[in-house]
Parts: sequence; C-alpha cells; structure tokens
Amino acid sequence: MNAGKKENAGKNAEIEAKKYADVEYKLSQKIDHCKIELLWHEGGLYFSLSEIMISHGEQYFVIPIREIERLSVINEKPVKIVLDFGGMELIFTGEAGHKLLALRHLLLPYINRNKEEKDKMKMLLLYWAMGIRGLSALSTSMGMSLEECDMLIAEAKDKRYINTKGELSQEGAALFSEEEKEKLDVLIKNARKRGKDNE
Amino acid sequence: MSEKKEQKQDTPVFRSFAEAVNTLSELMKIETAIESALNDSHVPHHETRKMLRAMNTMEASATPLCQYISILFEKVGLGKIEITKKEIFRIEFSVSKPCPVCKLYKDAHSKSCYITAETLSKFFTNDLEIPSTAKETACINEGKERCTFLVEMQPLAVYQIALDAVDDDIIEYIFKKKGTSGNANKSITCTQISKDLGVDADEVKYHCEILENFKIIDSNLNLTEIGLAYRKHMGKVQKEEKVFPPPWQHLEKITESIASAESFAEAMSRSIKSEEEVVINEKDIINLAEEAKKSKSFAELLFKTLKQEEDKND
Repeated sequence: MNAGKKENAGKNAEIEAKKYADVEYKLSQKIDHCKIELLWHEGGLYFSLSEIMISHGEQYFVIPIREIERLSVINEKPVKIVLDFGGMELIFTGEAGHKLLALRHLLLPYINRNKEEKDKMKMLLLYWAMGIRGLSALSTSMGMSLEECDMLIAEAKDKRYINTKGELSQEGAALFSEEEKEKLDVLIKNARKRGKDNE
Repeated sequence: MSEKKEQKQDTPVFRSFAEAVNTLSELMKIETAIESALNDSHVPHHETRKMLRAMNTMEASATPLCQYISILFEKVGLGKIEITKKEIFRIEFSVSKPCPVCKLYKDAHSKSCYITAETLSKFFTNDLEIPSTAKETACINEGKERCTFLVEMQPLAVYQIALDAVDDDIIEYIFKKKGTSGNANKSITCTQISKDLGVDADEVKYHCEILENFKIIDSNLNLTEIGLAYRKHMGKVQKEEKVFPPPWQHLEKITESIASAESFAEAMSRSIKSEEEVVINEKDIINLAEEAKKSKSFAELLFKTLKQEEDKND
C-alpha cells in the first residue's frame, strides 16, 4: 500500500487522512483574469501523506501537496492563509492560528520545490522556443549538468510541452502567464530574425 | 527517465503520519514561541543604531542587539544564528550545523528554513521598525555548509534610525558652507566643524566616517546626491525617539513567556496526536486540482454537489 492511500490505484483512490483543524474557507476559480467565488463554508481541514483536504458536508475537496503553487499568509490576526493551485484559490482561516501557521511551514519546502522545478521547465522551454536546443548550449545557459538537462528535455517531451515536431506545444505555452507569453513572442521573433539574418 | 519522474510524483510527501505530526508539533512550538518572543522584543532606536552604524561584521556581531538576536533565535528553537556579513542596507545571517529547522524536513533536499527567514523579517520590520525582507540563500538541506539568510532593509528607514542628531548637525553645517552645488573648492576640515559646532574633534571625525560609510558625504566632506536628498527631506523623516529599556534587560521574562507558549503548543499538539485517522471513500473525494484543469465543468460539478447536499438537508 502506498502510505496513506488505499491500494485501488484509481484516479481518486481512498485516502487515509487525519483531521487537523476546524476552518472557514473560501474557494474561488480564476478564469480570464476574473475571480469567481464558488464557495464560502465551514468545514474540517485534513491532511494525508500527499494531500491536504477540506470537508464540505460528506464531500472532501482534495488538493495534492505537489500541485500547490503558493501558500501565503494574507492576514495575521486572525490568521488567514491563501493557497493557489491550477487556477484556483483557497483561502482558509480558523481560531487555531498557530496550527495553521505550522501547517503552512510544514508544507512550504515541498511547495517551493515545485515552483523551482516549474521555473526550470519554463526556462528550458524559453530557450527551446528561441531555437537554443543543443544539450551543451542549454546546460551552460541554464547552469545545469548535461544529465540534468537531458532529463528535463525528456520530461518536456513526455509531458508534450514539446510536440512531436520538436516545437513548443500549446501545453508548453500554457505554463506561461499572458504577460510572459507576450515577452516570449518578442524573444522568439527576434531569435528567428537573427537566425534569418545569419543565413 | 519518465519512470523516475513518475515515481517522484507518486512518492508521498511525508513518510508517515507519526513523522508529519511530530514535525507539526515542533513547528507549533516554534510558532508560539516566536510570537511570544517577538511581542516582548521591541528595541529602542539607540540600540538598533549601534548595529546599523557598525563599520564591519565583527563590530556588528559585538553589539548587544546582535547578541540578543542570537540568544532569542536559539531560545525559540531556530538554532544559533550569527551575523556573517554586514553592509549598510543588507545583513547576512548564518546558522551552522546542526540546524534544528533543517532537521525537521528530512526528505526535503531543497531550501527548508522559511520559518527562520520569516522570523528575521518580522523582527526587523516590527521590533526594529525597519521594513525588511529576508530570504534563505543557502541551506544545509541542499548540501551547503550552513544555512544563510539575507535581510534587505529599506534604505529610508535605515537612514532615519542610523543617523543621529550630531550627524544631522554636521550635514546641515556642510550644506550651509558648501550649498547645493557642493562648492567643492571650499574646503572644510573636521577641526573646523569641531570648533564651529562645539563638538570634540575625535567625535566629529567618527561621525564623518559614519556619514561617508552611509554615502551621505564623500571623502572630501562634500554632500553626495544622497546626502543632499537626505538633508532636504530630513525634517520630514525624523522620528520621535522613544526611550525604554532594551528587551535583553528583561530576558528572564521573555524566557518565561516562551516556556509557557511552548506548553500551550504542547497541549495543541496532543490534540492532533489524539485525532483518529479516517479513511475517506473514493465517492466522497473531489480532486480540486484535477477538476480545476477542466475549468468549465468544475462550476457545474460544484453546483451539483451543493444541490445534492441541499436536497439531503430538505
């Protein structure tokens, strides 16, 4: 058995969890720069070995820890914490402020590692889109070993951020914010122009 | 390679509930101790000034404030912290092995001491009244020799606290003698300043060295651009200096309140330990991260869930 998760390896297998605190929470979704408030509720905050979850009646909203992109304190008294993941936002607050702060600090090292990995992937895709694709050039530019860089390229292809034609795919472009995409477009155009000029 | 990555995705973040709960208990103790310690740690400006005016790392380390930071951080459970680099607006602190915070995150092979960085930032911002940011720049958990933290202080606040009344008199004197253009040809000496302001010559020399270190004047006793800007706005930025005893004079009281905060945290952590583990059934789980990816259907799913619940309640 995968610790904390029952063996049926389906998408939403049973989860062993431990209740941590009673919270009030607000769930919102961000679509096209708008934030839609979906739910404001009271419930339990639970954690398992890979997820945190909040209860809504008999339902449990599960957030895998590795999917969390940001976990910040937005208010100190009472403690209010915001958690971002995949275009959604969960704000929770509770009477046991220290407990919530401790949970945040427990998770932070694992969350930011995600962000660092995502940043590395974005950096690779940026160079890739600019036409820098040689392993040696990429590893030098990104300050990584050849092996690390090779693994990252393989991961980008696996996740189809780079399509079968070897170009940056829509999935890859989706990792960038609108603002970043605009800058990316300029860089790609300039790189292509320089390429043509050199020809 | 993909196997390796998939394995990483499937690997639980924590090895067991017992380990996660123990870490949470330790963190809760540290959180409550920090809150209690920082509440009683307001430092008078004249003490902060000694640290800000230190010309090098060794001088800064010897100030009572730095020694207090070191004692306080150790008492709340963040390890033995010391200054390793001092610049006018940036201070680097380090924690040597063994770092108690790193030990809490056995499986994190990345920067882990967010709680230490945040405490430094809070202490500087709230207790020293210098808005500051702090970040961990190296961590034992990522294979470095020591954990290092960089505190970046807001320059205006540093000037407000670091410079004293004699500094201001000297700045005003130089300005009156040389004017806005600097009038570099008109030379002034420390002896002249000493005589005209009625301040001891050695003291004037010391203040001029400080002002030069803070880039307020150059080596020829001319006001720099920063110096002119500081002088122009000086009246507006001067703060009233409150006099009260520094926190290290009531260290015993702080130690006591840290201890009682820790026993409070102990009680809270017992309540987490006593919570039974529950098994949540597959049918009751909504994976928010997955549903968020199908953004359009999520609102619908949520609506259905709420509706079901309302029907049940009716």
